[in-house]
Amino acid sequence: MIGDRLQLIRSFAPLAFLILLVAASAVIAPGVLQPDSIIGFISDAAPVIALVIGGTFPILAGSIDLSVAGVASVTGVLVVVLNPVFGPWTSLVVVLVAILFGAMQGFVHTWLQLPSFIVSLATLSILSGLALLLSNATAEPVPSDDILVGILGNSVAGIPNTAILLVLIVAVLRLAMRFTRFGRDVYALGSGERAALMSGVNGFVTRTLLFAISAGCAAIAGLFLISVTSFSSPTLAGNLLLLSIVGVVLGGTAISGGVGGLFAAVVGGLITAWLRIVAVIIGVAPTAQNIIFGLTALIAVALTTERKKLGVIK
Amino acid sequence: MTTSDPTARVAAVSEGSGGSARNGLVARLSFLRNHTVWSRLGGPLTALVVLAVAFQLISGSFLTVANLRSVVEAAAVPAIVAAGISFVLIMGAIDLSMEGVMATASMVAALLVANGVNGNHYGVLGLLAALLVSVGFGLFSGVLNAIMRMPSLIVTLGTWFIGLGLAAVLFPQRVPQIKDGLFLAIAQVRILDFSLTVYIAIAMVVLAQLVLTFTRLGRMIYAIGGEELLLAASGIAVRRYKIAAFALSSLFAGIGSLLLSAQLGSGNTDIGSGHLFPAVSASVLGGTVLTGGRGGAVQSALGALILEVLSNGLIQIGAGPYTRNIISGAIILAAVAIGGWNRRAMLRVVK
Repeated sequence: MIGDRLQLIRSFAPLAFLILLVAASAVIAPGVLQPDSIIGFISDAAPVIALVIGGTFPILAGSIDLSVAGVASVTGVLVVVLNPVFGPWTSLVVVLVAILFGAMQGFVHTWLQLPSFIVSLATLSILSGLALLLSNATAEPVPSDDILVGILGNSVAGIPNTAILLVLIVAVLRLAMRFTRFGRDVYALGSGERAALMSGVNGFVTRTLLFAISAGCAAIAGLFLISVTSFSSPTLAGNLLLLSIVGVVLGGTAISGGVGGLFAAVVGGLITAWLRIVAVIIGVAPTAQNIIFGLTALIAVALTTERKKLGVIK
Repeated sequence: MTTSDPTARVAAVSEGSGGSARNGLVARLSFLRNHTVWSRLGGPLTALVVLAVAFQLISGSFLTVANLRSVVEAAAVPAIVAAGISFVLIMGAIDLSMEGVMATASMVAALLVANGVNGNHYGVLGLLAALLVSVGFGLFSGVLNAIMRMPSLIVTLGTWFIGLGLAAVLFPQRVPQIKDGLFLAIAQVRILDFSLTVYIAIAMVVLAQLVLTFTRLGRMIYAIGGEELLLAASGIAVRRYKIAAFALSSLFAGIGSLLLSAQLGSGNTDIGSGHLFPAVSASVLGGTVLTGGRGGAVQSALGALILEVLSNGLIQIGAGPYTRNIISGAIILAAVAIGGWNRRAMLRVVK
């Protein structure tokens, strides 16, 4: 009974927080709720939300993927570098490459029994080096013939296409989580891995899929970023690593695994993106925002971590 | 401390603190005769020699006095921060906050000593303040990890960005040029053709190793990495040691930051950029297992030297400067995979 109520608070507290946050900023600066600013907000928020959705999946199973920002940056660089080879379809190819990369990462993590944070910290290092190497550390304009990036830059009936793609992704993932065995396996791994493995959950396949989804979402976040800026820079998503994890925990997904989900990811992503607006409204310099996000992340983790489940906390 | 049996390890810890002074001394001296010490340093040393010879054979210009000197100079700060992060890695935890701590320490130091922006002139006190701030970061992370029971990964990710943000807030309108003679001298004074930075690095690494080998804190750090549950069950208060390890790690990052600031001649918010991954992979290269319990400061420093030889040699044979991060990452993966290969078979839960 009390557990149920806690569960309910956990799912709706972030949403209430988001509404409060939006309401408060609307009182201070009424302009933020005008259609133009909302549309601007959506384009601004889309990359963060995509990263948060991707980052949520490994965390649901108790792992973590630190490489998402690296994947997003490399995606931007690859769209430019590979354009002479694949022409208009480059960005699609790059997303597929990212998904494959993520799958490999998940496989290495499970097969070699290496902690996910080490694997993804190592790949983050490799990816950020690759982004610099491939782009020669310079920002390049995104080729105009790229179909996917072109579509993302446009809008239908006033709604940015990035938002539409985001809704599609959420819908597909939601259906997969709700109606396939995969969805239940993820929560099983996150709530009690030993028991899950004993009862026949295939840890290899599930983890491989989780990291593939995570990298795929990160690549799409990279496309969102370059469709807004129309420039690809090797450090495009540099400071989004923290934001993506802040978003995951602010939505109520526990870093200890098994609690949370897509709804939490979307709410968490929205809160994170809106916090950036609040920071601008109350006049925090962009560079100083890192303090706010660092502190919010710490507070959210302090509130949501299930310490009993983690046992020894390293 | 080389035994893999956790019970023996805990016994060794309590014996070391409670045994008579004479027994303790004999035990401590036997450390020098212990073959495993040499075999542990042997691996990294061999790698170092093999790499150096290989690069000499390929490029023909690696083993010159001038080049070796520049390798040693470049490895000084990476060796310090690698030795520092070893305190935390040996416990089986991780400290990602280094780059943020370094940024804030650099700004604090540059703004408190004689500089081109404000009228402060605190000299050595300013440097001490910067180190105190660094230790403060470590204490903060340590308290959140050990007392609030939050995973070190997330905690130090948070302090990393808080540090970057603080440095950005402190940054004045223009670059704070350092005008303090004593501070700048750290990079400029040369003894036997090496800058003072190199000697400070050697001293810090040796100091770190002494702390790890000969103090109760050091032995507890190994024991926490080996079998923390057992320690807690034996009624040993591990929390203060965990906090101390994070504080030491940040202190070393702060020292590294001051040395770099002296070289640069100004405070810089980007000063720590690119130091985290090499430090982790240097520790891993030196034999620190990321699951804890094994490693050492000297080994990690040797790892940093190997990395520096690698990137110097690769640049000499024509690879670009951006390969550094790629190599660091690949080394972390390879070393951890090989190190843990024999333990794969068990049904272990790996998150």
